[in-house]
Amino acid sequence: MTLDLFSYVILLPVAGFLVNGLLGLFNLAGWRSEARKPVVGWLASAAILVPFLILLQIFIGMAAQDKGFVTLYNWLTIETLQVNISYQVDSLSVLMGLMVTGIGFLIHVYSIGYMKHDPGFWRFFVYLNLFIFSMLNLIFADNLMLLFLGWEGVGLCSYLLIGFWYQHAFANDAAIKAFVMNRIGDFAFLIGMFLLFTSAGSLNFDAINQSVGALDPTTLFLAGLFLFIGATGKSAQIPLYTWLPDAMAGPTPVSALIHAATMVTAGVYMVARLSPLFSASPELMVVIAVIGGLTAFLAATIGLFQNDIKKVLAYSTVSQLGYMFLAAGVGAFPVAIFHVFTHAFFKACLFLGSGSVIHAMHEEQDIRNMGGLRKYLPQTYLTFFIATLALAGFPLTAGFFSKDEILFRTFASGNYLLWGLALFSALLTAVYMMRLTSLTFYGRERFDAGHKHPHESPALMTLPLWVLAAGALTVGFLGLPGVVSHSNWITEWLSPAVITAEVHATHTTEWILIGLGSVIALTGLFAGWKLYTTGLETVTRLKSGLSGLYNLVYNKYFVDELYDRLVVGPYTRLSESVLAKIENRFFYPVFGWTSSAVSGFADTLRYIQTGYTPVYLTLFIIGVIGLISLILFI
Amino acid sequence: MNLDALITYTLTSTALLQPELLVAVGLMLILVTDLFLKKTVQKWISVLFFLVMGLALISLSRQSEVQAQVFSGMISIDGYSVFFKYLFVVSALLAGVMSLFSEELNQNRRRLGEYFIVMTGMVLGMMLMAGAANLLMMFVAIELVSLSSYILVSYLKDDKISNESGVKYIIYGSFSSGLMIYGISLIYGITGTLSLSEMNAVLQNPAATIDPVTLTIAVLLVLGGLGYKVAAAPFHFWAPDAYQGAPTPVAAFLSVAPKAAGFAMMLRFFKTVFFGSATQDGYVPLASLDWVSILAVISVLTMTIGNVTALWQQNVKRMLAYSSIAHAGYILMGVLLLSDSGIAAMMFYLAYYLIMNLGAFYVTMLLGDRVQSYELDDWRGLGFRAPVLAVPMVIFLASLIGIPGTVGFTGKFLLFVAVLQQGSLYFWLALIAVANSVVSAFYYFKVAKILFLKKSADPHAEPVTAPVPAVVLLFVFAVPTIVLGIWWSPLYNWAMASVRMITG
Repeated sequence: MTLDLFSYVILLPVAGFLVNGLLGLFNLAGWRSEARKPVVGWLASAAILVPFLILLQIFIGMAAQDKGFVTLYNWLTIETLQVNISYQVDSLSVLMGLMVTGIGFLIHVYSIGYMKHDPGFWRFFVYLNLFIFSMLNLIFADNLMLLFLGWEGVGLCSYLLIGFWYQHAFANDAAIKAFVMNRIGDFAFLIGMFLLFTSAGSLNFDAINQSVGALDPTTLFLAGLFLFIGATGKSAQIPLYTWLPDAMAGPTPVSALIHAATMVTAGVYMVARLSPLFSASPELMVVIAVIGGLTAFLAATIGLFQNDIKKVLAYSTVSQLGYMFLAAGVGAFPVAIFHVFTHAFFKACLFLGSGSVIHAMHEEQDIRNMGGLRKYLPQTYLTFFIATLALAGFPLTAGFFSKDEILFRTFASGNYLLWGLALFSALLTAVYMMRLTSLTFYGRERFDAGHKHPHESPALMTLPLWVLAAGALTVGFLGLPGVVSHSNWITEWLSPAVITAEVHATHTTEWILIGLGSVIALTGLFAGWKLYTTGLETVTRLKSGLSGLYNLVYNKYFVDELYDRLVVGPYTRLSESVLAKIENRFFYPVFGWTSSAVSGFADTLRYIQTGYTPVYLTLFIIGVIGLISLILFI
Repeated sequence: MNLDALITYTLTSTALLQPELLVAVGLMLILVTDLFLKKTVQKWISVLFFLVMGLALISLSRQSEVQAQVFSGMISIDGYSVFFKYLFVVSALLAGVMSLFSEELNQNRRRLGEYFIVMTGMVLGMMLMAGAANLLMMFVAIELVSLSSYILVSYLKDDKISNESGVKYIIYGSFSSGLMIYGISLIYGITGTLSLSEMNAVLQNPAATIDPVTLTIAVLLVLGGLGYKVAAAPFHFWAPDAYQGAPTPVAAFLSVAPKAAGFAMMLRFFKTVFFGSATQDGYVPLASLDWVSILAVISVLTMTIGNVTALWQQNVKRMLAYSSIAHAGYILMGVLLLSDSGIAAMMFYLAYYLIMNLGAFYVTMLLGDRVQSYELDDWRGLGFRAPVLAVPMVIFLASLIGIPGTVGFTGKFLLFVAVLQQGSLYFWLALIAVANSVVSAFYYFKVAKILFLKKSADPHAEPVTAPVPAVVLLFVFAVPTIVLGIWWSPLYNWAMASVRMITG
């Protein structure tokens, strides 16, 4: 394995960020003009493509157990705390890096088409490059500190991109919400990091993972728990998931890249990176599995009744992330990463497809006002449909393999309750996805076809769709189930970097589970198609029959309202009283006195500087004499 | 010593002094060329100046491993002095380029030749200051720098303020030189030598009887001379007047290079003369003189007076003058720590201080030239009229405060770590320094506030621009200010390696 070129993987995206950023900021060389847009876009894309190719070359030349380090420099050393800008290249990080740069590149290309008419074009690509840079730092970091730098960096980019259209109040609100929610998680993450540093004495992954056996179980549990709370913020899990659906206020390519394929999987990645740590605490694993399973279920039910095309996909993302944590919680860390990998393809494809639809419908996002788009957008339709099948777990698609593996591992670990919940969520997933596809592409047009003329997006946008759709069909074969093939490539590939729990189950059980999973997917898909094309009256009747339940789910279980009541309201009131009682009555006067004392002092002092040289010279002598007497008499 | 050996010794010494000699020869070359060059093509004299400085850089790069004393112990050539010589030459180069964009100086372009001659002389003086290992050499070098400074400050001969500040500067400087040479004579009287290392031997000799009172007075008088060079309180009074009156590039240059030279010399003086045993780290000071406390008091006085007085300044140049006094106070903390990490932190601080402070002065010059005023009131809303100039200014200001992400943070961080490593003894010193940084944030950000948050008096004011080469130079200052804040280990390691090479 040669890592000569590795540093460019990190440096090129930041170079793209700097070039576009500086030229755009000062509007040099006409960088914000219409004519420069292709240059900006392709420059930014190239800054991602080249790292992808370098990683590909490293990937081809490496064996699964290879592991290399690239240390750029030591940032600071304070006694035993060493912060190195140092990267770890192993099977896990290379796989994640390929995914981020590969899908990132496709989304960059797509954005050149999608953002063509936006005046903030250059700004968009600057943020995207910064995002990829941060994400790569997160993935390749060999210590928690650098990972945290990337972690914060992606959080910042997420904030900037959700609020990209800052002229709209809702975009700003969503951006702030995402940032605050993430900060809550980050705070816990920091506590976890401090706990690990004080107990394990290092922040390096290797050192942490090796010292797990020597740690006190309570400390281990707490450190892991706090890190996991950090992960629930970044990866939108209960209780910190409510920001992700709102994050859809950002441009659609952002939703595809950051809020579906890459950034939100950072929590799963972190858990997998520290898999020895997490699996050393059985209680912690239960917490992770339960949170994951519950989130998968909860988000799937909410997704069932959303009407905004992107919101459905957002809840679906939350739900799928739940599956990943479920896999991690039952000890199947490689499977979690496998699902991260397959999910990236079909979810990116779905989001980009929805972008293409929104584009064609002139910024319309409500699926109740769509329908029959199949004949207007044939390519978008076909790719969207493929990705829907993959997400629903249609046999032999990518999602089928990864999700079935998660269900199987959950079953094999003996958590039958969680398995049942996950299986039911899989049914819901198939239903809500087919509902989305049906309402968007099938049936009759529910918009004024005379006025609106939806048209297929340009090739720049459809080509990435096809690449991603092809991935959604094929990448599942990287992780064939144990009954079919003895070599599950992805598990074997990840085995040197990520640990996995033993599996005790017979082949018969596995076959039965696979069959059950397929039946569930097909049933769900059929139900979704039937209900939302020809059976719309049945749906209406069901809704009015179960109006209580429907309202509860439709309003997202009132979690946002609950948070408002429980946290935001009391917090605001607390802030107000702190302002009135403490800040205004105590701090303000104290700081006022301090500052007037200092400025009064300054006012006196400045008259020493009279401008008269004799005074200066006298003061010189007084100074010398003063110092001498200080030494001699004190 | 026979004649052959003497000649060989002189030749070896001369060879080792190559960078200084290059600058000296360059000085004469510029002088002569200036005489014969037609007045219309005088600006080409600057090319010669850059050439000489470039050659000096190349010559310096070949001295990284040298450790020697030349001319009978007059001058030390070691990693430590080479580090500083780099700083002087680089700052002369940058200030030289800066001068080409200065309106004040270009109105006098006729005499630009003289300007560069004096500047070259000053560089030579500073290089000698960094290496001087003998009290007499120290004095001569410091005088060369001072004399050049007087000329440069009063360079605008038609400008009344420039002349006035020059005269004040000369009087103040001569006074401190007088006291310094008096101190030197006292030291010579009680130790019988002028060489720093021999002085150390005398002080260490238990048989020698040194009167501590005389020694204290003598050293304080020498310190007065050095303190005047670095503008440390209470020897700083010349600085605000001189900086305000001087052409801005000169003020910029004075605020970084001679200051660095003063610190280089001060440290070599104390480190060589007043240590019992020069072990690697954890030096043992000689008991006869508590100079650490003196420096600590001076450090606190300097940073407090600098920062507090800066609060009320309305003139940006004057504010920057007080700011550079305050920074001298911080840097003094590194001198008095008696540790390698303290010295390395001091060197690191001086190196980047050069970049960010030159940068701040440079923006001040560009903006001041364009609005014809250095008063803060006239700068209101300039940020939106001149974003290309004002945004880097904010970067420099942030770095001067020490905001994380800029090199100013790293420098203060290293300095404070070095202070705290010495144990709780110096805790109060770090605390005062931190409080001072807080005060400094107030006046630095006041400039940013006025640039960006205040409305311009004239709402229809034209945008302010600068020529592209001038902007490029601006980025030469701004980019390292950020990059060194993130990627500082090479510079620090270089400083650390240089510290280990100090010879007596």
